Parts: sequence; C-alpha cells; structure tokens
Amino acid sequence: MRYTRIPGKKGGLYRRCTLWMGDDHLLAVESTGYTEQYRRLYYKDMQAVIIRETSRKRDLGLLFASFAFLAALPALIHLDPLESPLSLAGILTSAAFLSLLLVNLYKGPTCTCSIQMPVAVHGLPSLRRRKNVELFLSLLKPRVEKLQGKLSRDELRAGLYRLTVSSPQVSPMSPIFGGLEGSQPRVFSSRIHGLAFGFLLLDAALTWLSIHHNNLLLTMLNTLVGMALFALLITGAARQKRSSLPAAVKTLLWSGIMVFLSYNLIYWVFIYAIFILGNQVEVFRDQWSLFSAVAELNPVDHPTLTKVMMGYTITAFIIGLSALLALAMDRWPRKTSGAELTMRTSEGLQ
Amino acid sequence: MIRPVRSGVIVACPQCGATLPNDVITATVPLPCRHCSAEVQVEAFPALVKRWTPSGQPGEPLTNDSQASCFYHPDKLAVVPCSNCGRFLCSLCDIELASERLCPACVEQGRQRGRLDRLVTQRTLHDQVALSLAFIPLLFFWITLVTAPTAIYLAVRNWNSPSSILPRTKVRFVLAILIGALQILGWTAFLAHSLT
Repeated sequence: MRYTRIPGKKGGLYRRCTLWMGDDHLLAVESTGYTEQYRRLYYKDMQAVIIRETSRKRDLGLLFASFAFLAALPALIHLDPLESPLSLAGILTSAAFLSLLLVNLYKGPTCTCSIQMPVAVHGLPSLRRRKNVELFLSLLKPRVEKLQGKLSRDELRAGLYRLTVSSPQVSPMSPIFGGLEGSQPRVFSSRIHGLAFGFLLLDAALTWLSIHHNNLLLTMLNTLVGMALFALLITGAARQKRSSLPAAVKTLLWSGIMVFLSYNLIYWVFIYAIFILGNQVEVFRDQWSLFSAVAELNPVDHPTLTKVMMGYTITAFIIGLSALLALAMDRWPRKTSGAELTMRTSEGLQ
Repeated sequence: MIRPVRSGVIVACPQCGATLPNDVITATVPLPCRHCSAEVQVEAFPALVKRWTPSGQPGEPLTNDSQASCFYHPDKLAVVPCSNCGRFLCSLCDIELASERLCPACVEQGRQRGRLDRLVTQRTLHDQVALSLAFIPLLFFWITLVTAPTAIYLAVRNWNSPSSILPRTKVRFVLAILIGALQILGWTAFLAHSLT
C-alpha cells in the first residue's frame, strides 16, 4: 500500500501526529518516536469533514509579539545596547521571536478538523492550518466521490430534511453539550481568572510603589496581595483545565505563574544575599524582624534589585492587561444582526 | 480525539456539541454555531444522507449434496475459497480485506503475527530504538561499554522484523551498527592502551 503524506503535523513533548492518504483509506499515525499507532478511516464510510476556525494564529501572534517586546526591553532601555551583553542577548532573542511571528503570519489562519464516520467523529490533530485543510480536501474529495458518488447541494438539502423529519426527538436547535475534540468542555465563569489578573496588576503596581517608597504598611499590603495572587493563580490553573476559556487566557495564566514565581525566587535570593553579605544576620532571628528589615530596605540603593523589580512590574502589567483584554474579547457578545446572518447564509448556499 | 455520534444528531458542533442546523451544514463558507458562535464549516459526503446499512449475508443453505459446503458451516453453500489457506467459505465467513477474501482464522492469525498490514494498529520502530541506544549513551560515555554491543545486537536481530507500515529505509539500522562498532573499537583501543 502506497501512502501520500498530507502536510501538517502536530508535535508534542513525546507524541507526533501525521496524516497519510492511501488508495481506499486515510491513515492517521500517532508516533512516540519508538512506536507508531495507526487509525484507518475508509473513504467509503466518510460522512463529513467538519472544520472549526480557531483563534490560535492570533493568540500565538500576540504571544510572540509580547515576548519579542519583552526581550527587546533591555536594548530599548539601554543607551548603548551593543555594549551590554544583556541587551545583545535580548536583541537576538527578540529577533528569534519576531521570526516565529513572521512564520506564524505566513502559515495563515488556524482551525481544527475532524471527520465524521458512521459511529464516531475522529479528530485530525495534524491539520491545524486552513491551508493544509484546503489541500487535504482537494485530495480527499475525488477519492470519496469515486467510491460514494457525487452529492449536489439540492440532494444534500433534501437528504438533511428527510433525516431531520425522521428523527424528531433531536431538533436542529437543541443544545447537546459535549465537545467533539477531546473531553467535554466545562462551561464556567472566568471570574477567578479576572480576579487573578486584576490582582496581578495590583501586585505590579504595589511593587513599583515599593521601589520608591519604603514603609511597613506598603510591604504588608504587597505581601498580602502577593499571597492572594498566588492562590488565585493556582486556583485558576486548576479550574481552567478542559474549560472553554480561550487558549490565550490559559497560556497567559501559566505565564503569570512562571513570572510570579521567578520574580519571588530571584527577589528573596537577593534579599538574603544583601542581609548576609551586609552582616545583618540578626534579621533572620524571627519573621517579624525579617519583615521589618525588608520594609526598611531601599531598593534604589541596590540597582540590580531595582532592575529585577522594574522588570517584574513591566512584565506583570503586560501579562495582566493582555489577559484581561483577551477575557473581555471572549465575553464580548457577537454583534451579528439577523440581516447579516441571512446574507451570510445566502452567500453560503450559493 | 474520538467521540461517538449520538443517535439522531446529523452533524454536531465540534466545540459545544450542539446539533448544527441544516443551513450551516449546506453552506460553503464558515458560519457561526447558534450556541457557542464557533465558526464551523461542513464538507458533506453522500454517506451522510444516504445512510445505508451494509447488509450481512447469512449464507445460503445447501440445496443438494453435490454442492461444496463451507469449512466452518457444513450446512451452508461455499461461495469462495480463502486466498490464504484455500478453505471453502460461505458468504457469512467470507471476509473481504483489500483485494483478498480470507477466512476468520486466517484474519486472526494474520493479525496476531502482524502479517496483514491492513489490520496492524501498532508497530515498534526497532531501528529507532537501536539508533537511540547507540547514540544517546554517548552523553554518559561509560555506559557505551554495554550499550554499543546491545545496539548492534538489536539492529542485527530486528533487521527483517516488521517495522513501520509507512515508507522507511534501513539507514537507522546502518547508523546504529556503525556508531556501535566505532564505540567498540574505541573501547578496544582504550583497553589495549591501558593494559600496555
């Protein structure tokens, strides 16, 4: 049996999915590198190909653009970026992310694709770009028509009407929840995520204030907000699994967790280093002493610490604002008027 | 990745599972699902509306003693011999696989021994295993004393074993043998030098 590879593959940490076209069936291959698993979908049994457009291209574009900007920040801030190794590294990293952004733009719109068979709907994870799906359909349709015959629009409409009439228990408008791609998506409000990103913005603002003002109250507030933020981020991460939230929001939440943890790790390493190297080990005798000492510490006297705090502030602002914008766009009601829908439907039927 | 088709549902939205209305199924451009607003496009084939159920043939009974009977059902008329073992089969036992007509026993045997590519659902890529065993331990060097001969053994042992059903060359086996041989040569030279 000779197989023709369909462009497109979905790669994970240890799995790769590809699609191959045979004489009388489609072969979906899932490979771990050391084993391969095969699924055959025969052309004579195929009922429909279902394509759903996704926002993955937009989300990836936003992600790459954000990281390119963040990586270029040291070079943008530095007066002579070519003299600083950090700025140079940032420029190179930014160039890499810009390349990824261009590749993402070139590859075109994203979608998911699945094939409906008589008893099951099979997802095709390797087909994630519209271009690849169009090519796939151009190769598939002649093969299916050869075995099943052609179907005109009128015949399709008549057949659907006949099926709808013969199955009155399921009306066309009845909602049957349960996504076909993977497990049933959980529909829940995104309040936790909204709160988490709101607290992220608040924490960023308090961190920025802490650079310029040192007092116990501000430090206490910053600590409390940080603890609440961490709890909200972890709760959001646990709840967003298999949810209907946009992928961008989920990614930004994880980015927020990584940034928050990284910042706190680096911050506290610096604090300990400052006190230990400054022979101020008495601050570690109890929590309150340490807390008071941190509150009295002026970050401006330690330029590296200031840069770390500024970096966290900027990054947290970007992540928080982007995520809240993504949430707002997801919740924005679709303003499709009845006339517009009728017009689009008419165009589709022609 | 695989979801069952619910009874009475013609085509369901891939995001929310709601039944798609007929105007979305027949449209040539993506239209929004009425429940989740996901932009969906359906490319329908005749099998969607011409829902025929393939009728299984029960096998015709023998009408006289001169007719050949099925090996598995002596009271049924044989219609075709098995392409593999030659046994006579009735229409109930006849299994069409690609261009061959096989009996149930040959199908099961072919599946178990991996001889019927059509029924293979999983294969181990022995060439990749051998190559990884030859290459990856180089990071830890000392382990290559054991892994190099093992990689060569695996490559030779599985040279003719069924591999991927997709087009694949033996280059990984060759590389595994070469890298393993070089490692063994290296160890030999090292040990000879140490002894002298």
